[in-house]
Amino acid sequence: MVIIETFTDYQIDALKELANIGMGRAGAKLSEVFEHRVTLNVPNVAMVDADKLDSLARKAESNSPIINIIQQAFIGDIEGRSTFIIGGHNFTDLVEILGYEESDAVDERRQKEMLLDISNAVNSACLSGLAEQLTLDIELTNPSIIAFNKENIELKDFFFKQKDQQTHQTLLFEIKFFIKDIDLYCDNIISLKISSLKNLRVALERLL
Amino acid sequence: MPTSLLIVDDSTFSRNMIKRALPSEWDVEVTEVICGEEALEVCQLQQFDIIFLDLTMPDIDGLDVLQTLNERGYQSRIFIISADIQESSKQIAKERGAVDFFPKPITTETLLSMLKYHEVI
Repeated sequence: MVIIETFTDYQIDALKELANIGMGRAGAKLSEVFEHRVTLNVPNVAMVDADKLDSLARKAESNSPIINIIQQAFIGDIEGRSTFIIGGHNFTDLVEILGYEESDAVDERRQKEMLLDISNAVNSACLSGLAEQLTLDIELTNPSIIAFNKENIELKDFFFKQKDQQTHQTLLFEIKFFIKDIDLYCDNIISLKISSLKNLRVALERLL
Repeated sequence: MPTSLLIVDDSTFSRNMIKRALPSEWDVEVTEVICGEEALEVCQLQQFDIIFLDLTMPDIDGLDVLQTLNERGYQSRIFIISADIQESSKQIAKERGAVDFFPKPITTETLLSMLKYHEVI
């Protein structure tokens, strides 16, 4: 039987603030890459039903007809998965925004490399806020693209749930970025494995 | 007479971390508010010597609070303590009258050197 760790309101507030620190670093990174100011919102942190991941991804999809989705697992003292959704443009437009030559902008291999680089940079920054403050060791695995320049896709076709989620509950961090000047949306949805929640709670209690 | 300090941050944890980082030798009387709207209200009622202001908040963000206080001619030394470390945020904050900008998480050492540098203590 899986025992679900519970978090107090204060612990959730602390996790939100730690996510906020990671979001700030990621926002600065995105701002450097795209050379535009990034609008940041207070992150959402909550214990949710695992199905919520699908509905959040669908909500992100509704913001933009074209989206890219990259997933990346993290392992170590706490484990889980980050789903990075970037929308608002097709990637040819994005590469052009980044100032690349037209020949590079239409090169699909180049576009995918850049997408993975951006996702990796955002994830590293987001997770560093949690890991450093909680003195947890986390390592990111290689990211993989699960949707590239997709239009009108049915996100229910994608598998967002963690493999160990027999309980259908997960701790979820939702971090949103918006670059108004170029109409670019990014959602970073980080979900932790149920089996990692105990380590997280212990680390959090040390900090508090 | 103690220095009056207003801490504006939507996170209880963050406000506690800031209070924990306050140098022990600083004679200070702390008031806390949890959002930009409350900050603007309390500043209409009271003159604070120092304000520690967060930027990312759910209602009125810190940059808008700065703008409004600036327009009202509110006289206080405002320090930004924020996780939003974009260069543009720092620049806008300074243009709107912030004295200095410090990234979260703030430590006692950073806070002490900041307060000494600006001759607050």
